[in-house]
Amino acid sequence: MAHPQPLARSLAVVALGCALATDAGAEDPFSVVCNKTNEISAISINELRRLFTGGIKQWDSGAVVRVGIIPSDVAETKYLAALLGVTTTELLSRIQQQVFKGEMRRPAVLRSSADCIAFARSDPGAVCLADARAALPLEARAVAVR
Amino acid sequence: MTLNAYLVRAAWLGLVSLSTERASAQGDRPTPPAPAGTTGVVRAAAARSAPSTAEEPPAAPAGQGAPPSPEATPERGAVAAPAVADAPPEPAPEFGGATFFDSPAGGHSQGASLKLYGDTELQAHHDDRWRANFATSHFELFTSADVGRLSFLSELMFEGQGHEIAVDLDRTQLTYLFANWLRVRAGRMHNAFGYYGDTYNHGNVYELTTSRPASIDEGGLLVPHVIGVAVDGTFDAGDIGSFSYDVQVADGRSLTPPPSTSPYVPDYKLVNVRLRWLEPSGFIIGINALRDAAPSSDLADPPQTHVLELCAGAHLDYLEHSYHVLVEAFAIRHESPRLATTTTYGGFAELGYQLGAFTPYVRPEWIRFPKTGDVLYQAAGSPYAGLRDHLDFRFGLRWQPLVELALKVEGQRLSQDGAHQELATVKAAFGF
Repeated sequence: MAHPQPLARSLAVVALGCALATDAGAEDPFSVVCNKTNEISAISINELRRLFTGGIKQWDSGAVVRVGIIPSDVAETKYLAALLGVTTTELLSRIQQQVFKGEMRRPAVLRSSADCIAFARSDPGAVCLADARAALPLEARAVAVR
Repeated sequence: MTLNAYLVRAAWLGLVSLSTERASAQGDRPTPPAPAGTTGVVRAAAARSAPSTAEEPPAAPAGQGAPPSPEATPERGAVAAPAVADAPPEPAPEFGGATFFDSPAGGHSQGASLKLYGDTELQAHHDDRWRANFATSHFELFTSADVGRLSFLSELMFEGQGHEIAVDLDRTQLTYLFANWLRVRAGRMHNAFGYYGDTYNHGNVYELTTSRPASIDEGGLLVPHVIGVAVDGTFDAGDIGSFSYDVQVADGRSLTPPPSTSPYVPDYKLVNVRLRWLEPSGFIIGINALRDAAPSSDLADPPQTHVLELCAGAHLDYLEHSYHVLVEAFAIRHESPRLATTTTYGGFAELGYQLGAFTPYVRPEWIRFPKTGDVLYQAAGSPYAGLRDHLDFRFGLRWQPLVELALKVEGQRLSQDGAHQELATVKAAFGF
């Protein structure tokens, strides 16, 4: 898919890199994580937005998309919101609205990156964000963001 | 945990969990701190995905290096432990009163949740002088549940009419997902006409303004709800975005005024088709065509004669990068066996720009009725009787301090054929 907002994404990554990293060369402190049975190799920002707002309901593997998110103002959620070009409040509000609309399933409520990894290893349709430093088990894998 | 974070957590979990799967769910736990000491060290995705072995150190959970957190329980430790290919799946963790991932094979039930939506307002209106009254417009119980590809939702609404309360089963629908391009729904749902109608439903906390446009609200022009079946889906179109469709087949309006959806018109089914282009940068462009039949209210028509209703609509929407742009227009044609065919035109534009938690906005809405009067909308006693032009102009400010709360201050000028009325509304809308 085309990269719809390269400037916005670059700005988001730069801003969060400055805010969250302790060394100047920091990049992507968080990874998009999914189940190992999910064959997707990379994902665009637009696809990520649609995944997290109910626009994509099923993976190519056939698994039903199930979003996992930490519903508070933590770094993982801030990073995701910045990637999508919205504030944390706006992102959470949009997700809730889409659930209310019936367009997406209730997200799995996570509390940490470890939760995300556990979620991804156990649910074939899982997608969430986890600390990029965390080692992933066999049942989970990271997906590059284009 | 701050109050804000606690409210967010409570809202997401639902105030009442009806799940029977995990009655012994644990209590809430504090939200962990942000990953401490995030160094930005990025490993290659392949390296992170590489099989780990028992000799490797345990996976580093969020907050590594920080003081021990509630996550550092044996259960949590087991989850973060290195995976071994032959090892059986470990028990999934429980937290926050519900288990959300307890089956490696998927297809598990997430149970049911109950959320509460509502709003309360103070509205002042000016005729010969200003008067003000309080109202509790809506209170809703929203239930949703899903298991595998099957999901259910229901919206039971208590609507304030003056100081009286009416109960309305606003939505109840069962949905089965076959694929991205095919989803089937059955039940009572909002009419998928335009963008606003089935996007905002009645959760005013998500709406920009204090109320829905008159043309698509209860008692308005377009049928707000349908009872029947619907299919919808999305097709990925690569670089140009995606295309989506909606088709609804439902019972039409009742023969008994006021017009409402009911099963009493078996010979006439409402058919609605919506097509949309979802452009990658966020623009949504859509068109609608709807066919329905409605009872004639004109005395010149024999009793219970149907009026054929044909609606066409188009909408353009953009809700990205702090912009809020909704533009919708429609034409409604009524064909009666013994009266002249008439066409009513209308539309609205809702424009806002988000500045932090604040969003100033305007919304003009316009309806032009036919010169000869509309056989359905302008019957004696209708609020539109005898009208040619209806103009509703609103401007206001929405403040969303929390995900669960929106406060709105709105001014409104309602003009009908030159006569006008000013209104001012302060509304608090919530969703927990």
